[in-house]
Amino acid sequence: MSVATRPATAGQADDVGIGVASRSRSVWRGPGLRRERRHGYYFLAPALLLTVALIALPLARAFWTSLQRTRGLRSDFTGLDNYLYIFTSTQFWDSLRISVIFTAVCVFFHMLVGLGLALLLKRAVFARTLFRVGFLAPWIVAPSIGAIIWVWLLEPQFGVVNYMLSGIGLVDRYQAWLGTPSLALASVIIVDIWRGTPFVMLLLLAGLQGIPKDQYEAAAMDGATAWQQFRFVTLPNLRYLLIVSSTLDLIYTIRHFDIIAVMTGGGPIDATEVLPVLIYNTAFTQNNFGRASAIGIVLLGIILLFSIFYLRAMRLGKARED
Amino acid sequence: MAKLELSGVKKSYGSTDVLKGIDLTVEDGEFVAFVGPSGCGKSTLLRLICGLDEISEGTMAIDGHIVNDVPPSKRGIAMVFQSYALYPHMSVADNMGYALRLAGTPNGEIRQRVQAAARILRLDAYLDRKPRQLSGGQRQRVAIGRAIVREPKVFLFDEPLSNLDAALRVDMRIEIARMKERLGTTMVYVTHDQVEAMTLADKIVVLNAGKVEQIGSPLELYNKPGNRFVAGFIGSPKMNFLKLGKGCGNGSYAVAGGSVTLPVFAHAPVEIGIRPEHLTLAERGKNTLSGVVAMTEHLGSDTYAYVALNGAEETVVARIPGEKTFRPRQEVGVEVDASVIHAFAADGTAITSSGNARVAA
Repeated sequence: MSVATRPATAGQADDVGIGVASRSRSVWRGPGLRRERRHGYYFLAPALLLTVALIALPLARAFWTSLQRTRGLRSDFTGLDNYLYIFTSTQFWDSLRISVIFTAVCVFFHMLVGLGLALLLKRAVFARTLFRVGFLAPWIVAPSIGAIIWVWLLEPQFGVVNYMLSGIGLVDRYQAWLGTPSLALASVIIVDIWRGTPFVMLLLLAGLQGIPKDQYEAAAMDGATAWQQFRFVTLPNLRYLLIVSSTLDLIYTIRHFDIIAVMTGGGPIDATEVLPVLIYNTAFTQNNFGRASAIGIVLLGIILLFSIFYLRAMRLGKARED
Repeated sequence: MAKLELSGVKKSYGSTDVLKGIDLTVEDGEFVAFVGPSGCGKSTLLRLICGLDEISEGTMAIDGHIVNDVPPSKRGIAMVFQSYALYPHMSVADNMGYALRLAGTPNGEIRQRVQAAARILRLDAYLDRKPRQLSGGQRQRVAIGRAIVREPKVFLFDEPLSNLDAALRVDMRIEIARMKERLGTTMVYVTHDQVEAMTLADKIVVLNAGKVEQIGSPLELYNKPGNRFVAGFIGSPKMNFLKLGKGCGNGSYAVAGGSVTLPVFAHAPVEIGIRPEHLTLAERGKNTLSGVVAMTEHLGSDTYAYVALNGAEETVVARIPGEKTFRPRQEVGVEVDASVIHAFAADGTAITSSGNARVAA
């Protein structure tokens, strides 16, 4: 709090403004400052309460549950047994592997396609708004609704995808996209690319529009080709945004649940069982809440790691702007 | 070193004509400034010259070669942008050498030329820094350095000093004047600041609404403006314009409660213009117009006195010595130096005369 604002704050706290001003300076140092701090906590209290009630308590509860062995309504404290179990089970490591593949491929294509679309949209001369809204549609649709639509599209016998692909002779008519282990992961990845790209596109489009036009003009005068302008003007200017948005997307994608839960439920033969789906299945199919909580805590740890990276990238970007 | 010729150059965006036929020759080694109010097309004209925008009609030639279809980087020109347009992620040296690098110049030569330019602009100590670590004036010098390094035939400047504070602007103006002496390259300079144009340019092009109003040396434009627009645009404070009343024969016209006698012109003048320094405030007397001081501005060396003339709607401004003071609402006489009166016809063109004018109350 700066010196200049203190009298005003104290004046508001006390009805007699003039009386405050004539009191000795020690008012600002001693009880006044303490009172100010107390007022600060009053203002913080509602948000603090909500945070504690909605985030901290459930989190603590989840951690507590992860140390228990639950059977029906009974639960016994078993220490780190759940963690020992998951780290030695192949199911967890398989699931983690699928999560990593799913997240890495999805984020890569979100960024690639998102950047491509953003570049196109920036240059689009006609029906710009229409294209923007059109490309945003997958993001506006609720993921589970989108997933249901995709299940229909990919339906082996009557689905539009098989119909169209067999029409041009690419596949035979009964390709079971979600029923074949080797195809299922690829299918949900494609659907997640469809879902996740628009958000990245929107972020990058905003970034592209923030690049000063005259940098491109200066590059054109310097003799840079379109590729060189992309390489030496667009990319360096987008660098921090690319890092920040890919980290953000990573955090979002690694915990994404809806699409896979609706489309495959983790199957066939666990081929698409990413960590969030494994947690769900462990908790609600096997009724093993303790183990599910333990996997949840591990996933939280992974996400926290990326969050730290994200915050650092943000701070770096901000420092660069100063 | 190059001569730049524009003939009948037009630019339109859709149905809007931004430039309506520009004919202009910039001689080899000449420093030409484009001035005009916002939206007059001066920046557009510069963008046509450097090739960032396409010419709609007409031709442009550098050294006799028509370059309408030549891309910007092949025209042998360099441009200094208003915002400097430095590449934020490159060091000063890389910024300056980027064009050479793209052109495939050997590294040794790039370094040599960058260092030579850095020496001219006193940037030697900053070559490894990034643009964000530099002050506004230093960034401006890097932008100029980037242009110098390319050894262009023509330098283009797009309001290069408008992002700098007043003191720095004066320094950079001197810097550019020095550079002009040193390099002797053809330079085209766009500015809305007429002081920059007057002090730097060999030749000023006054643009208005997409047309050239007048081309001439700074003093020509100041002393013999071709029309009312140029007369009003060049000079600060602005020229005073007074509407002429009825003529009563012998070249005598009523004006602001007095009369003015003008030499006989081919066209009937409707307005006269008097520069602020050609007005003197005095006791009310026989040969003076009269008015009331509305307000004064003291600049130290000069004082600008705004006087509401009796019998006229116009307020005139007089530039008088700095030590003189007048009270607001003080009655004063306004003496006009009649030898330097400008007269304008109804269409705004200046009418030149051989004889002298005379003003009386």
